[in-house]
Amino acid sequence: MNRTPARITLDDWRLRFKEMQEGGVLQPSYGGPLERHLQDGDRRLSSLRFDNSPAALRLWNFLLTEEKRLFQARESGKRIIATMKDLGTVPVMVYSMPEAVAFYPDGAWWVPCIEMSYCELAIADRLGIDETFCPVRAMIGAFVNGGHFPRPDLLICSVGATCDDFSAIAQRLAALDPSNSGPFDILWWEIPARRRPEDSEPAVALPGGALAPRSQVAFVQSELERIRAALSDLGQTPLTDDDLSRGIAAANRVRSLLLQLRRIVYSSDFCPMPALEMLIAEMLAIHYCSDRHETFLVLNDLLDEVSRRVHHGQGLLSPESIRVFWVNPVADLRMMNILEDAGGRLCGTDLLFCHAIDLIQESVPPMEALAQMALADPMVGPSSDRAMRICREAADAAAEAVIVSRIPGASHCAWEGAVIRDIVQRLLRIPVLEIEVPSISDPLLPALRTRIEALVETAREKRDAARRDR
Amino acid sequence: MTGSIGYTSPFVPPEWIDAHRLHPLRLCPSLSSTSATAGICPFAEAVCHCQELKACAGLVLTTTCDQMRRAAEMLQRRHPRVFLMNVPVTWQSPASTRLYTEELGRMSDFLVRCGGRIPTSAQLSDTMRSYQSAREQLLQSRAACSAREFTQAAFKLPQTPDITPSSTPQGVPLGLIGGPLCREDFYIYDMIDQAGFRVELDATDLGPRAFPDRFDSTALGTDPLNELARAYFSAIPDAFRRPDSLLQDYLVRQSTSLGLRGFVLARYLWCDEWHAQLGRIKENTGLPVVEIDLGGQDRSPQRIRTRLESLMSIIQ
Amino acid sequence: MTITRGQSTAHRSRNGSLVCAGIDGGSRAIKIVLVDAATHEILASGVHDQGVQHDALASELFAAVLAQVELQRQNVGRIIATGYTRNRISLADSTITEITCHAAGVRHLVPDAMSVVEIGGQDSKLLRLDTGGTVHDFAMNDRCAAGTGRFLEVVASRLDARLEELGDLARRSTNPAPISSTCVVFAESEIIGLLASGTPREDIVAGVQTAIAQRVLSMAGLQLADPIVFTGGVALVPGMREALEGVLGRPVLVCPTPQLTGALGAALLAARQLSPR
Repeated sequence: MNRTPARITLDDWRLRFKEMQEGGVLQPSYGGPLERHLQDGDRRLSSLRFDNSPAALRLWNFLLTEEKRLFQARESGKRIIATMKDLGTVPVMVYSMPEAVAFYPDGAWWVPCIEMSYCELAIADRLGIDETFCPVRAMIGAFVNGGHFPRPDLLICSVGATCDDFSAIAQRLAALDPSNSGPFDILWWEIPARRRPEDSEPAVALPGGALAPRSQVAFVQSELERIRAALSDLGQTPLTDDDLSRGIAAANRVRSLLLQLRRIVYSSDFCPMPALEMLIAEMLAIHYCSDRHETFLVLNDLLDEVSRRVHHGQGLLSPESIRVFWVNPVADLRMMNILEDAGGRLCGTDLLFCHAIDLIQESVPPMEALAQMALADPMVGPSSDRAMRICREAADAAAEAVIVSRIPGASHCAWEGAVIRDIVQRLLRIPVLEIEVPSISDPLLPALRTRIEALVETAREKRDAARRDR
Repeated sequence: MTGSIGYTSPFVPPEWIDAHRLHPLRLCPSLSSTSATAGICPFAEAVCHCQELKACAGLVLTTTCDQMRRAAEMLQRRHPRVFLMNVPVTWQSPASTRLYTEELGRMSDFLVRCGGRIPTSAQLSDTMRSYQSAREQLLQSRAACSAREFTQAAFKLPQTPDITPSSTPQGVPLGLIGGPLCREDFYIYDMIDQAGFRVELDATDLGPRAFPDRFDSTALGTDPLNELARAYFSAIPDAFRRPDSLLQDYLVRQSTSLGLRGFVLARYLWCDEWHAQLGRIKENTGLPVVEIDLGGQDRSPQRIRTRLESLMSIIQ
Repeated sequence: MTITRGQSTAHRSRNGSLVCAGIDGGSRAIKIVLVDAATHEILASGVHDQGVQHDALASELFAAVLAQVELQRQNVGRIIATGYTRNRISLADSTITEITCHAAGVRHLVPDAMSVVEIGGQDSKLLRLDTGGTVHDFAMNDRCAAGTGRFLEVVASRLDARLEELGDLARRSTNPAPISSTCVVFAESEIIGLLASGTPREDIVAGVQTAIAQRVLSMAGLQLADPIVFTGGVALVPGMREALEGVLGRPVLVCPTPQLTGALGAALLAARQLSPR
């Protein structure tokens, strides 16, 4: 049922799905036509363009059925744990427990974009969490209206060297009154600002290459021990090192798949998977879309598909597309389509959770390995560390331009964007564009499109000039 | 006493700097050079451009908010001696207190690099006592001065406050809540007075809310450093701490004991931590609260005057 | 509608394929330039106020410009549209963003330009150019009317003055008023306050022009190399160049025909597409 790769609309998918059915393509339990999600309220789908492969359909269906999956988990008696502002550490611990599901309430920041609705944001406004906060404020609306996920059995939130927005929003959530579905008891855990070790301090090399003092790793490990105790209490069974080692090994299998997928897609001359699907696939690393096993299967399918396309020399975009490295996730998914429409393609990303894609060390005790991984979070360290990693990866990927997509209101973005831009321009001498993308960016779309097109034109001029010089 | 060490956060104990024979200089930056960039806290940006930095042997900033953490990184790129102190957000676990104490130790190494000398326990105890005495004197004079005079005297600690009793402040008792203030924004005290209120509780970073707990005399003799850490870390209520019950309980307690009739929440634009407290304060104290955002585009006094007048009409 | 005929008409009708057109569909005006594809000489140009029917207005102006030099549509080898409404112009063979077009237009008119400040009706841009004339990087403001021509329009209206009078007013200022707000709405309130307190109009204008210059130049912290060229419709407003120079502390050159650089760049890029190097 393989076809020439293409980016197709939701309307096109109607026909494509029929064709797949007639061709006998098997669907997972959550499978089905894409447009049913539109009928369920995911209205943004009608303005996106999707990859036309069965693997991509599976990815989208997996993503868009997460809410149902969570409510089913509740019905089947599983423990449901909200892991907030945590991009990849605590979910690994939760999925080391039997009959437990972790989910990422912060993911509700996409609800206004996908549903094209201000409903959750209006609730946040009413509670004083207005538009000066990051769009993740939609999360508080989702907790209050209870429509997107069931009430969790435990809420775990990392604070410290995270963003002020989230800490403030989570505190507001914790103290909500019963008329707003509150209060929500939150287990706060501390992630300190990662610093460079002093000359006299023992240092640890973290996944991704940054260094941290051993004392900071020990501190984070002690914080994770508090979480382990809470999870053990909740599960009424101790969460052992062996359980965690198995959980880490399973997490690494997912991460390995994602690393392979990224390597093939981003290095191929013929882009074999669109930016939009890659963004969604990378997001799976954080919390597995509430099902780790299925995440593995979804990524495996995608990997098979891109391998097949590369083998047959099939891509979606011109090999002349400009190679763009993208920094930070976007609240409006259309940006990924726009990049490709403008003549660009992804050649690498730093979506604020590189540490959730790097492999977790299996040669050290599991709690220490998790602590190291948590400290490797790019948000936790200095912006210059993050910028240096971006430079390394962008250079390896032969990036011709970098887009730093700022998240409106997010306390870290306004400062960090300037640091990343300066360092990338100084070291790589390629154009860097900073854009700010709100959840519902319709009024700004022409301006955003112009900026991205101008960046691609600028990079293309540079490429042409370099070719002429050669 | 050799060089000055600039600092802005109430979680940096000036007695610790002083005990290292350096001069603790609480910075009061000016908004004049800020750019009103969307997303950037005007106070944090003002600190980056603070003129007093040039005269400082070092600067201590804290991680109490993301904006200051980022500002510290920015300053580290152009100022030779900037120390970023990790102040844990969580405060109920022994590990957090331990981390804060360890950070004081690391700060000590930094102060030595800035020309300071490691104090003996006795030197530290003596310094702590003198600061405590000055703070108590200042607190005693609170009733006899305006909140603005109090704040200005607090900037000069441990210098003994020289407050000549002014006429007893009149007006409706009010709580002023928020973080730090830039030089230009001190007029908010005057505007509150002019609107017929008196700031009975100054719960900004400059008022008694941000004072440390009283030092335990026994602990001062046996383990002054841990006592210093306890008095600061375990006691100062602030918006960034999780959970925020320390702050909320403090405000409820103070509003009852001081007979407050309302609150003004003054915070800088893009300050998420204080901004998000607005609803919490209203719900917990049951008192009317007006919020004033500082450092934004509209710096006209009329805007603030209108809000204060509205607060007065609500109270009356 | 303003139509201008170029000095040279030597190539205009001998071979239609040698003529290229650039259409800059800006937010305030549509600008069209015809160039000789071989010599890059400007054959004709036209400007028309922007309206709701972007495509129809562009077609109308295009027809008028062609008529001025007695050409037909089929004489034009390639048309590139740029500007805010570029995707709405059906005449165009392709589109290029105004960033690339302004760079090409300015470099044609001022060959050693290294930096470009472009202030239009609704947005402003800073471009840094490579020695070869391509864009090195750029910053753009289009979310806020501060730092755009719109700001000047609001001020002129509030001061009961015409745009072209602003320069004379600013020149008479001895004490420019401080305008602290970089938001048009708040700045307007400040201006009302200044008028009420008796501040002379010339001091207000001078203060506003400085505020715009500061706003534009603070964009993205780009370091601008000399020579700096000022273009866009606002470059025609007297006093703005001086305001930019005052903030930069360096000379700023106003581009010849600043309102047309985007359209000119588009026409030149069309010529390049027609006969690539």
